[in-house]
Amino acid sequence: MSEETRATRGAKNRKDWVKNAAIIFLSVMLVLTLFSNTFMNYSLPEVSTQYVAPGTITSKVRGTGTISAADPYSVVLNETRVVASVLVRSGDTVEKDQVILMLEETESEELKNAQKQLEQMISSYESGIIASGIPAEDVYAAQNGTGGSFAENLARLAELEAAIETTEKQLQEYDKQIISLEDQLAATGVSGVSESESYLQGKLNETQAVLDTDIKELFAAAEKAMNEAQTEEEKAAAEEAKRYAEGEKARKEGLKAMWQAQLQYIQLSSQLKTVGAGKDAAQERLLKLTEESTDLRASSGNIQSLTAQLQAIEEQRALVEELKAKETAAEVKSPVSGTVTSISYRAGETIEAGATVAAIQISGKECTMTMSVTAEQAASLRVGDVADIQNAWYYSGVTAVLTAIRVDPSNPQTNKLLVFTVEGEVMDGQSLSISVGQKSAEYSLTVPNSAIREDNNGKFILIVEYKQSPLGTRYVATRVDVEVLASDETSSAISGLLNGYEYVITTASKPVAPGQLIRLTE
Amino acid sequence: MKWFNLFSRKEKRTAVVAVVSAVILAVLSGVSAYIKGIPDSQHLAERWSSEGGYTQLSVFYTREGQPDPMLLKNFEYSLEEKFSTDGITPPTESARLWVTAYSSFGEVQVTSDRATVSAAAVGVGGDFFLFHPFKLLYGSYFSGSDLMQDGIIIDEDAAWQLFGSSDVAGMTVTIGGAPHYIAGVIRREADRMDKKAGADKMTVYLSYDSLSRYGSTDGISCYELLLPNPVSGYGKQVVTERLGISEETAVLVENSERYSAEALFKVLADFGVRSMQTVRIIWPSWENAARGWEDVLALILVFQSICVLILAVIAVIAFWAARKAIGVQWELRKAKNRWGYEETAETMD
Repeated sequence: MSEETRATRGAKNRKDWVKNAAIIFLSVMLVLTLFSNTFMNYSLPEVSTQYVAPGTITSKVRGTGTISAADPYSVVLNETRVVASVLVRSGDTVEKDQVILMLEETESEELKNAQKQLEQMISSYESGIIASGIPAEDVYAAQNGTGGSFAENLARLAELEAAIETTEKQLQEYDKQIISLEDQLAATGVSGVSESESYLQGKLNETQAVLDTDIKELFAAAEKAMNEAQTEEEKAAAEEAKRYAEGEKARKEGLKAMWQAQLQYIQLSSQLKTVGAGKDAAQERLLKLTEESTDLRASSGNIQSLTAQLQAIEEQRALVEELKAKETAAEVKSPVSGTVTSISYRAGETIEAGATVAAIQISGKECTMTMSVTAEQAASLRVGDVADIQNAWYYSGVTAVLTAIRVDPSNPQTNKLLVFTVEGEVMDGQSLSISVGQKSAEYSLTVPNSAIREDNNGKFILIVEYKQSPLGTRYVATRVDVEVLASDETSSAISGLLNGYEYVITTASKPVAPGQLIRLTE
Repeated sequence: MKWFNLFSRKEKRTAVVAVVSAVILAVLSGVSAYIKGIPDSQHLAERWSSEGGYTQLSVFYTREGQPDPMLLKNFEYSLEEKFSTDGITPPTESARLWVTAYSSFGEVQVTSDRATVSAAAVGVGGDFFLFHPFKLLYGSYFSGSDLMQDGIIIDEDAAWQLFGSSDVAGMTVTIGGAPHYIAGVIRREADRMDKKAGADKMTVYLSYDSLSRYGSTDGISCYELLLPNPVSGYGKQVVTERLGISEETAVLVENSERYSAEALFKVLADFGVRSMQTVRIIWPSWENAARGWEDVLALILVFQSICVLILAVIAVIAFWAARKAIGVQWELRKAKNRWGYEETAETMD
């Protein structure tokens, strides 16, 4: 090859190279230009947007509470019976007088026992009478009720006792008299007299007469003789006469004393007899009185115990009758209409007397439900708010209304107790999930919660602003500072420099900074 | 291209090495920057304020050191006073100066009309989702300051099992017999680091109140804070002083600083002992992921350092050689000048 050709070829190669490079370069530029939008779009974050729109914020307080029914009616069985069959279940609705339980047709335990006891009482009464030898008249008196009242008998007994006391006193008097009489009798020294009193009295009088006359004469004569005596013989004779007179007096007086004593003896004896008779009579009286008193005591005691026994028997009889009358028929009926909240016996089980057979929630009666919430949650509620029941389709016709907000006793500082009145088909002990809260007033600017962002300048939202450019519409994320006025679970009410109906960015495929270009979801 | 041949082979090789190092450095820096941005849970401070001035901190507790929500509330009340004393005020009237959240871990059973799902659960309080901005598909997050605390966040899998669809925000489920509603549906993180970190399990986020009542949990094991940081270390100091971090029962991590070169060098310094755990803490999945990335970034840092070193060495050598060359040229010019040597085009060649 010549120098020249090499040089030319070199130049040609260079030109080719330049031409190729230029072509490649230009085509790349063309592609880039034509697809620039697409390329750029791919690099931009994709955002989803929502309108800023007017709306209401409903912040609800949700929770679960247990229903407590007011005063369920308890059906109580008064006897111990065995259940034959149970006809309703807990939760069933019953009408008034609907049979809820069937009982077995046996006599109740109580009735059996009462009857047995009655028989026992009667037999012990009868055998008691026979064994204790109570007189039949007492029995009749008790049975016929003629025994006289307690008061009467007591009065009679008192009388008897008074009489007994008097008689005893009399007896004592008699005894005293007898003793003194006997002493006196002994003092007479006479052991026995055979003559009569009149004879003795005659003798006494005679003697006394003699004493009064003869002896006196003698004494007078003796005195006279004494006075007229002049001689010694006369004096001695006078003295002898006086002595004779005195002797005679003494003799006569002795006789007198004897007659007197004998007379006295007779008198005393007869007195003694009288007193003795009186004492005997008194003793007899005493005996009678004592007997009567003892009899009265015994018989009134008998009558009393018999009467008591008879009364007890009567009562027992009455009880048996009562039990027989009360004896529940074989069915237990519901006394009210409502819903059975609990029925705790099964067929074959024994129900004790006095046990609650079933509890019935009277339909139409109100139930209450309480729920504990925080103080802030309670602050957003008002008395009278109607609560929504969760799973409302499941409960038909159940309404719950907030009737009171109270301090929660278990957490007084932080919590409040909400009290709801619940009406409808609910049962005691059931738990209900509700949500309660008022719809707020309408706010002119509300956004979904995911649109609210925050940084050190406060809360803001990103709205989409668009600007036209030669290459088409460009979307820019613009920051707008907002203040959140109210929020609930899905959206928040905001205030800020917004007209309403801007597009606000809710989510983005990549983090978006204010002022950044974005693209909208297709 | 003739000037290309002016350089010796050695020089060419050096230049190639330099260029390659520079390229690798650039690539690594790019990769490092990208990786640092991956865990969203570590960047609240940047999201909160692009100018800086805030820091994100996390406190992790052992079983024994678990705090009571009341204790945390007391600490938060004291922050108001602390910041106003120190003259720190929010930029606008309604803005918040600090944000906190706490979380506890456990399990819960969620029942819907058609299925029951047993899932790992995170019981949260405060503004947990500001710290953890999961990708919301439907609905919205809930917060501890909401009126009712019965909202839950589930992921797509749970939504599918419970309802057969993902668009289930607002529907009701039962947890422990108490009704709760779905506040939002999120997408689960799924990269390798997250999988290993345990973020791949089906997780339900519900209020701490609900979890402790209706599920099973130990107690609060993580407390996260966003605090103003006018000077470096301020936030950390506030927490250490006022909350009290006991060495045996708590670990404080400053999330905003963990990917700085300084922190990464510290990670390198802990090489060998980093896998040891002397405090009985089980890290939450996001912390595990962040730590995993720390290791990766530390490794990248090593290579970056090597590249920088190479470039530095080459630069020094080149500079010195250039200096030498310039010196020679200068002498030559001086000599030429002295001798009145005229430079022509030929001599320039």
